[in-house]
Amino acid sequence: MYCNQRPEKPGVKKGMLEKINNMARANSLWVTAYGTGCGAIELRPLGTSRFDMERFGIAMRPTPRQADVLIISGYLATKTLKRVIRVYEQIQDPKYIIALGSCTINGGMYFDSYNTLNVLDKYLPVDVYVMGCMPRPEAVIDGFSLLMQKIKDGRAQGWKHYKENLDYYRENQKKIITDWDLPDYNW
Amino acid sequence: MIDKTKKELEIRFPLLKLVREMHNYLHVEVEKASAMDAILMAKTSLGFKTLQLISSVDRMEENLFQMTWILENYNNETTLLISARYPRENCIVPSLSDIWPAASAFEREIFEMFGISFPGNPREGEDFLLEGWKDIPPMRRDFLTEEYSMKLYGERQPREHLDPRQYIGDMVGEWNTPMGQKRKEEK
Amino acid sequence: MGAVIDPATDPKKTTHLYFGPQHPGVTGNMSIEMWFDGDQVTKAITHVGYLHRAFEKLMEKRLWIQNFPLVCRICVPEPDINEECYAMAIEELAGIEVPEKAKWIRTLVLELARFAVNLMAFGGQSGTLGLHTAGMWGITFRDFVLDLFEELTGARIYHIFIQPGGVRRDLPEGFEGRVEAVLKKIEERLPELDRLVLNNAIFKLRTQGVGIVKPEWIEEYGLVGPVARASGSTRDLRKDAPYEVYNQLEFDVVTETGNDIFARAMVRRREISQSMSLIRQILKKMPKNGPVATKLPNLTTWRVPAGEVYTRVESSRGEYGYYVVSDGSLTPRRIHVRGPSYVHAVPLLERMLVGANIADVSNIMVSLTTCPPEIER
Repeated sequence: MYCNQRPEKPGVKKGMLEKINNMARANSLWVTAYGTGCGAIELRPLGTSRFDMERFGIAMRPTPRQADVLIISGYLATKTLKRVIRVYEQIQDPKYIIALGSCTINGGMYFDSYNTLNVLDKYLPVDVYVMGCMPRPEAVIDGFSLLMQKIKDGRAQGWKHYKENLDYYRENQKKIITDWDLPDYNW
Repeated sequence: MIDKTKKELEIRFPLLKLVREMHNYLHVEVEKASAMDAILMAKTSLGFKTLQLISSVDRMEENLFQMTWILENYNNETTLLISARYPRENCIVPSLSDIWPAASAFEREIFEMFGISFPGNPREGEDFLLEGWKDIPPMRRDFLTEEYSMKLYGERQPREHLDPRQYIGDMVGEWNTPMGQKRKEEK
Repeated sequence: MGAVIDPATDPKKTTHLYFGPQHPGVTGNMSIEMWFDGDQVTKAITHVGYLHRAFEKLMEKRLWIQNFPLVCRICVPEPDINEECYAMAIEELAGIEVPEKAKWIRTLVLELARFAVNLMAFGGQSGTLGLHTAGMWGITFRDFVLDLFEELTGARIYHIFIQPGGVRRDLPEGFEGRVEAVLKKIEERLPELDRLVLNNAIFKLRTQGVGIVKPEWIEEYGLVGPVARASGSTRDLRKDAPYEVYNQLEFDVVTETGNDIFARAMVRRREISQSMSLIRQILKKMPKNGPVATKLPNLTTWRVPAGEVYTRVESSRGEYGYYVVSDGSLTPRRIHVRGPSYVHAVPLLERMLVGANIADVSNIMVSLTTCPPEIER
């Protein structure tokens, strides 16, 4: 029912049940295994016993269909943006984006490159940014704990924002991707 | 070893210019008409059987493209660089992809980045690094990457605070986007 | 008469599949488009460019010294190789002498970097077969080496430590002892890793005789590093064209003749031991005192003399080359980076995959340790 029609506007949910749901969501964040940039190399130590992200309930999943979180690990090249949009829209609701590195915030050191995006906010709704080039594993864990706090408080609403402002995001995305051949609504 | 190579090349190509000579390293520049002969001679009779790199330099001021083929002799570890200069308009360089299978990828990249055509390469024109590129080839000197980036991805935002702590966590990123406004309100 | 249909891509007989870029078996961010007849690959095309950051263009816009933060980002696991290659090119063009002690420190940094990557790659090879324990151990061991880097350079991944004419700083007090402690810790654990990987029946079955690189392809494609050395080549730049102080160290080039994935894993395993012995030798022979950097001119107005040079350094994946062209101005004219993955991941992989089994694709790919950032830069 979703594939060829606009997504329905998500309603505002409140109350005890939603709080319990959010608690559950916050404590089992599953991450799509997609290393979009160089930050992916610091995600691998996160899985080892030294930093051990599984103690927070964070696990790597091979496909977007099983995941809740998409990590944009650094600069996004225009060719990758298309794949990232496809991956992001295939993740089931609720979904969150963590962006690593200074280059996702304002272009970082690639601000004048013709092939990397400068402001990720214009193309995808980012919930948490993690600073640094590249962020240390501790910083990534810090980003995750912030995301967990936001989810528990019901503030991680990036996915709702994306659905409500789909036209704005699509306009920006199509400006970059000149040969747009994705389905318009692919979730 | 390298003296012998130099001597034989000089006998065959009297117009050859010596660019740099080091221990086990020789860089020569030949006329564009004899570039292919020099490469084939290096491969067949001088023992430089391996192609390491095909590179090109945009010499816009002289209205030339300089092509460089880097060949390697694996038996005695000598490197031979052969350069030739081609006119910049509608630049056509013979392809080496039927001699070295690895040449095809290098030539595809140069075609994309400089617009230099290699007739004879069966895979010329296939997308390599870029996708849906419409502007002039990006590695040419007259392609201005900063202006292009500013036009397409927007200008870089100056910092509002100088305290890095202000940029950690929720309040990171650009705030002239809807998602940025939302994050600001939440804070 | 219709159009001629290539039997390798005949839609009636073959299945068309995309592998990556979002796939846990792909190294980094790249993808392979494949056609299958049954479960055998009939044709493969590598797609790269997902990480294209236009380094070569950006480097033309920045000062010579400003490019050091850029070059190290070309290869994520092993940034020092790029810094060394670029610094060597500048030194060659500008005629800068490197002090003796700086050469030793550089060699130490390069060897530590090779050591760290080989640990990760050796573990990662079995990770693709489901032996995640070995992968985890490899990364954990690498973390100890990254701690050493952090102490020496201040950063875990991107060090920006090597500069033209030397290195940024001397070794900290007592660094040798801490290196030795890390080596000892890893050395104690290595037999366990061996038992887990090399003596594992599943690993042997899945890797022996799979992913053959024929010895005649080495010269034809220009293969380098462990991929070539696992097929009988004895090429190692550290021995054949020594840079820095490698000519003062004792080591034998590691070669295997198996041609398959197992041989490549074996080369990496033996290079881990070789790196440990080299690091110990370096620490022993390193001069205690002396300058670690030459004084450079004012870097904001530094014009490197005009010229062209191609420098090469042996990385853990093979030979890294920088073709640097200067026209005597404040910025480089052109820098072309030739990463070892370029030929490994594009022409060689396309050829190797033909006839391979679908289950071995990711295994073959990881055995070449392709690093996409250095292909697309």
